Amino acid sequence: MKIGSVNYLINEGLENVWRNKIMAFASYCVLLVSILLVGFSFLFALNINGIIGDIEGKNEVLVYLGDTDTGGELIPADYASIAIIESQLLDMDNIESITFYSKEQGFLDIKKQMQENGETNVDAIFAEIEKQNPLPDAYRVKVKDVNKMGEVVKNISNLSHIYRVNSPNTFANVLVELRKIVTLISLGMMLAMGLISLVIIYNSAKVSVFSRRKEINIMKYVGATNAFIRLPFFVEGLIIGLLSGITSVVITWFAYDYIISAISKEETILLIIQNGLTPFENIAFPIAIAYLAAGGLIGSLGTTISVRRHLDV
Amino acid sequence: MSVELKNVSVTYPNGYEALHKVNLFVPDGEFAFIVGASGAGKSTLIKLLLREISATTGAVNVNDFDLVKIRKSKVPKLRRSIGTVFQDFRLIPTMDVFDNIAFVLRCIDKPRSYINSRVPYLVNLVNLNHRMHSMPNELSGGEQQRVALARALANDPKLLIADEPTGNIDPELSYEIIDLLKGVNDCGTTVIMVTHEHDLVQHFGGRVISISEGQIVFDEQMSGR
Repeated sequence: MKIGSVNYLINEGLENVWRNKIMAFASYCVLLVSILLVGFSFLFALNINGIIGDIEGKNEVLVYLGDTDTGGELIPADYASIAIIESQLLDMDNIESITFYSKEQGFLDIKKQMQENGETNVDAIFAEIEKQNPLPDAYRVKVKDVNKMGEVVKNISNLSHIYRVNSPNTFANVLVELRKIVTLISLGMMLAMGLISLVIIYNSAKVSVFSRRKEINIMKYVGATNAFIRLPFFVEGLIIGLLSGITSVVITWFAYDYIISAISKEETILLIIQNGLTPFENIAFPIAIAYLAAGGLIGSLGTTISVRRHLDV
Repeated sequence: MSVELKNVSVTYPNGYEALHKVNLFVPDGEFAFIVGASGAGKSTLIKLLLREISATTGAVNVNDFDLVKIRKSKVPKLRRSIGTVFQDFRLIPTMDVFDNIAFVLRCIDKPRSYINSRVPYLVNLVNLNHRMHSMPNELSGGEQQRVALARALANDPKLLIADEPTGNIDPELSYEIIDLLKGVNDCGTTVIMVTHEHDLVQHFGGRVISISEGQIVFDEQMSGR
């Protein structure tokens, strides 16, 4: 096919969009909504994964050692108990590593944190209580698989001379469950919306083909090839698809940034998930490519299938 | 040869046999009228020549294409060697005269420079210079058919098939159209004109092929009035 003909056919495709503007607009809207729904569920899943990954990175359980007396006061664990607990922890499944975290170190860390937080008289307060350090010794236990953290916490809690076990267990469990659901919904949505878009585009092209049936008929009689007849419709679908893709990128960009900044205002939430959130700049390029590819592919595929059925003259 | 049919039968999926063992030979450069009543098989014959349908049995050759063995991908090439004029003109209402003709040349990938010189030549051939940029709805029936004829001639076809070209125009304009077809034939193009207007056939004379109930019942040279 000559360059001049290709230019002519591309122009024809553009004119088709204008001629069938109502159906083209309907197709554009459906495709836009589909891409946005699929895109946002993907972004949601991506962030959930990021947050889970972040928590997995901090997959640490803090095991405080000791017992409580009848009054609920801490009785620090002796060296023999600590040694037993260490060997029991090392024998447990799903434990990556353990590190002893002495009460002295704990004391220093709290002091440092308070100083960093700008609290006054920290030195004086800590000098006063240093001799009777109230903190228990502890082990920092790294877990291999965050999905099994609950099990690990339970097993550790069942050991003797364990004062308390701190873990991000509950939140991680919720996120893991959420990830499963979001992944399923995303996949389902992707299939359903893809199919719906394809049907709408297909029908839109059908209207376009019907309104141009006379032209197509004459084209066939004068010896136009099927590729020549299809190209303007392909271009029409491609343009609608790409426009939907571009608009989706813009909407996603603004909406995503808005949501992230809204979350960032909530300090409590931010403390837990901030490192797991993905800034739009990091994913803008792949998202734009994916949106444009999805729009272009569904648009051009829908019209091509539709025209194919009307070429048997 | 332009057209050759040997023992051709066409049976539609519903069992109706539209053509029955038809034998026909139209040599290059001939002008032939095909006449017959409605349902006689004229349209089926045209569809067969344009490879819109295939023969159920027999052999069909058009412009050296074997239409029984022809591959689907070669059908556009066959159709580029045939010009077709329809009773209902089939002009594109949204295009002016120039574009209706140019459109055909674009479809067959002709360069713009060729289109820009060929279309005015064709418009001049059918005496419509003053209507070059008129829309179809601004033209009379006779003028629309002349545009359709110019369009059929755009690719300089070896064979021109005119399917009831005078069916939708005034009788006095019909003679004008056939005069134009005769002129095309004089330039060497084979012309097959389907009509049911016996007056026209008797007026112009020439080879007359009559079809009835799917069979050729008459095939003679007749002299005009």
